[in-house]
Amino acid sequence: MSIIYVLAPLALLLGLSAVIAFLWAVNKGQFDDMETPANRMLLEDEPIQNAKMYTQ
Amino acid sequence: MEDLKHTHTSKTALQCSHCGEKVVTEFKNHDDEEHVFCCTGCRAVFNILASKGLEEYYDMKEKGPIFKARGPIKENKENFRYMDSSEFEEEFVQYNSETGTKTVRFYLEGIHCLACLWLLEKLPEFKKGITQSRLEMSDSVLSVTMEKNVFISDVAKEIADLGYPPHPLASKGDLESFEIKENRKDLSRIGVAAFCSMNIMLYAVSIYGGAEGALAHQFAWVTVVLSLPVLFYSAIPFYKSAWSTLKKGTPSIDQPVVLAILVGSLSGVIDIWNGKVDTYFDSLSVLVFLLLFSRYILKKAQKKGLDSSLAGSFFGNGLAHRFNSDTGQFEDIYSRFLKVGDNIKVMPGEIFPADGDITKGQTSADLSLLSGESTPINMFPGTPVFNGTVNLGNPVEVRVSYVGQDSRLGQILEKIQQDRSEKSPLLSTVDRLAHQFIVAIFIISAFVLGINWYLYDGAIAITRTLSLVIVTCPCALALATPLALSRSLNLAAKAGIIIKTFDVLERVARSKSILFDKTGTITYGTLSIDGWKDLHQGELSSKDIIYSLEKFSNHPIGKSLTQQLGDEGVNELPVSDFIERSGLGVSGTINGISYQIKKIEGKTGSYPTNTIGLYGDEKLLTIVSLKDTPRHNAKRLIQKLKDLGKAAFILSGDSKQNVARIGSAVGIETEKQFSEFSPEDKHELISQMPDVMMVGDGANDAMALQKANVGVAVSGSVEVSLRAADVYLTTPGLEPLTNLVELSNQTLKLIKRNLVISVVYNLLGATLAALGYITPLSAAILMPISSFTVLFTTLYGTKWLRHFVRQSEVTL
Repeated sequence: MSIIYVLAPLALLLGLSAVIAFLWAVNKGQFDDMETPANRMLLEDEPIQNAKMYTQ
Repeated sequence: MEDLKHTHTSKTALQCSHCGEKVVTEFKNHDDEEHVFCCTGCRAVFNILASKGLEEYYDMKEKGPIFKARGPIKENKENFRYMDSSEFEEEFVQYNSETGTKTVRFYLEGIHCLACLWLLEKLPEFKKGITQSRLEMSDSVLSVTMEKNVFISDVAKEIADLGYPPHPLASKGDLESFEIKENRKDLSRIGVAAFCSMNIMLYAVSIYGGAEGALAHQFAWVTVVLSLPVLFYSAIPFYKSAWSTLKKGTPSIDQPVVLAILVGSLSGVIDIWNGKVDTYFDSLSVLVFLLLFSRYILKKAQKKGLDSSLAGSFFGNGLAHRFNSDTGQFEDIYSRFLKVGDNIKVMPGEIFPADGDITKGQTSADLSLLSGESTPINMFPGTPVFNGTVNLGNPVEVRVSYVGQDSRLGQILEKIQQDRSEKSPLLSTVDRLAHQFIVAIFIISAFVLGINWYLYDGAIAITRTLSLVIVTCPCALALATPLALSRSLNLAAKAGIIIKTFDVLERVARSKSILFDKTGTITYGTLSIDGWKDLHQGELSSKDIIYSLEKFSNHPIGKSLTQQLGDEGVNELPVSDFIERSGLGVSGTINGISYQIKKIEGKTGSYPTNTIGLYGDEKLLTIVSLKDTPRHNAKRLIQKLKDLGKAAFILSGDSKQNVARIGSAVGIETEKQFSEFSPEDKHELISQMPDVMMVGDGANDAMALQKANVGVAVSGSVEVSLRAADVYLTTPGLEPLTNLVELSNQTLKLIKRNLVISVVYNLLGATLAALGYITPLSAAILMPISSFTVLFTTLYGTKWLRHFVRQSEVTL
């Protein structure tokens, strides 16, 4: 059972690294816009069939 | 009487092929019977999309969700030339030397659905020179990357032509960075609280499960340590708020929360120090997490509808003509670059880009943005002019005195921003209740402490008081109310109703009467040509003459005439000596004859108010009568509002006749019709009616809207309207109004229901705690349970709310 003295701190460290990763992501702006990427997924990447270039 | 080509449909539900609004006056393309539009703006965008092969846009609209309802498109008239100046490039453009491109960021108006995203991100495919285009929907910011030699004004014009007026954002990240920083801080706090509370839970569960001995004790210490980040970082906003309200002497919802946190933590640490194994830290951290979370959601909901429309006004009006002493010419620049002391020229129809004084020329201006009055004011050299007001008559030169945030407009907008961020997330009825509740808790706790100490001993007293404090924590108030409010605000935004602050919902529910402005609110507001009588037939067609003269007018009647005649097909004649005098109509010379168009003189009463005459050389040639038609669903909706418990009144500056005509058409009794009211009269009337809702035009009725308990603006520019009004309806018509009233009623019902549950629970819990039946530990468990219960009942909503949610997802 004394293994728990290794496991518990390990689990905490793991969790801690997750928090640090989260805080890093927040500060890099990953969560600034949560709407657009969700919507962008619904769009397709193919170029428009009939698009005519505005050549002016 | 001549018959015009417009079809006024009142029964068929024709929808605009572009924006989906109901079509009243049909606009079509020649030889195209399939598509119909509600206005020239929508038709223009449709044609642009068609000419570029982008019809897929309409398929996209079907596919995805819509975030905000949005009305018809205003046709773009700007050419954005100032974006090509070097000054502009320096501040707004970012260059990338590696790829040989430059990037500009724009804030866009009118973003509202998936199709918008699709269209704008496809820019590179139909506009030469653009390499990348990315849209951030939550902020409505578009980042466009293009080749170095592309004209930015070209790009901006393209975007505007598609129906999304762009405002450039400084490349060094300006307006939004404060909001973004706040957002990130909030998220960080929530993230830390979430992590800590869940890990604490892990260890606490083992203790609940019956662990004992040294291990359990160590786990208890771990929970203490893990709760430190929550106590000293995540919970900071609560400490700040509780402290500031304490200093002011007002009770606030955060105070008992902070009390529970502090007392719970302190006694928890003491207990664990003394060898006990029970831990309360899991409940405390979960509480902090839930509270932070619900407040965050409320903030986002308020932001969604509001900011994206107000933000446009922070950018001011783009164009300014500044005098360059080197070249001796007026050059086009972006109004942001104006400085005090600059000499600028403002053309008729343009908006004054800054505060200043007139140096040359005289004109009349529309000061409705600031004064609420749209009657033009005459201006002469020396008269001050203000940022945001419209120059109506003639070109003038102005010396700039205040720019941007220092201008009157800037200060007003700043104040609005400030006011909004200071409110606590409770409605006033709930607030009052909360105050009583909080004070009661403090008193009862002190009482319980005292009695138990006297009757038993210190330890028991403290334990029971602790249980009491934890159990009676006002979760329903602090948690569920913001959640209910934010959901309603979101629903409203989806339905096109922009609500300034959440307390508006309560005020709407509480109001007893609704005052309707007539023109533009109950009626369509466009004076349509009702009758045309040519008394004399000259060589020139009277239609051509009137069209040619009114083309230069900035008056609403003139603009309306121009549009209606123009759609019919008239010939434009050359006009000289055009003069427009406010209140006196327009005049000009065509082919040597001097013509005048003005309101008919002569026996008043023989002509209804909206009749104008064309005079040639002082002789009356033609009589045109204009009519204002009530909206086709006005009668039904007003009845619905009456059924919802509101009395309906008309309040108008128009003549008794006209008001009576409209009033009887929509079902408002004569006693409830107020006609010929000046803005001051309206203001006076409203101050005598306490719980009243005023519905009107944002610009003209600004004073009345502000005075009323709830002001609802149905048209006019957003910035003007929201300065005075509490609610802004983006889609025309009265339908959103009925939705607003029902939404408010139902939201209040929901919140009251939560309160009842909460009070019952608290009474029960408090009694049991005081008598010693609940240990602090079980109190700590009960608290999150009660929080979740209230949370779920809130999300479950009421029957009407569920129906409304489903409806808004289907029909929009």
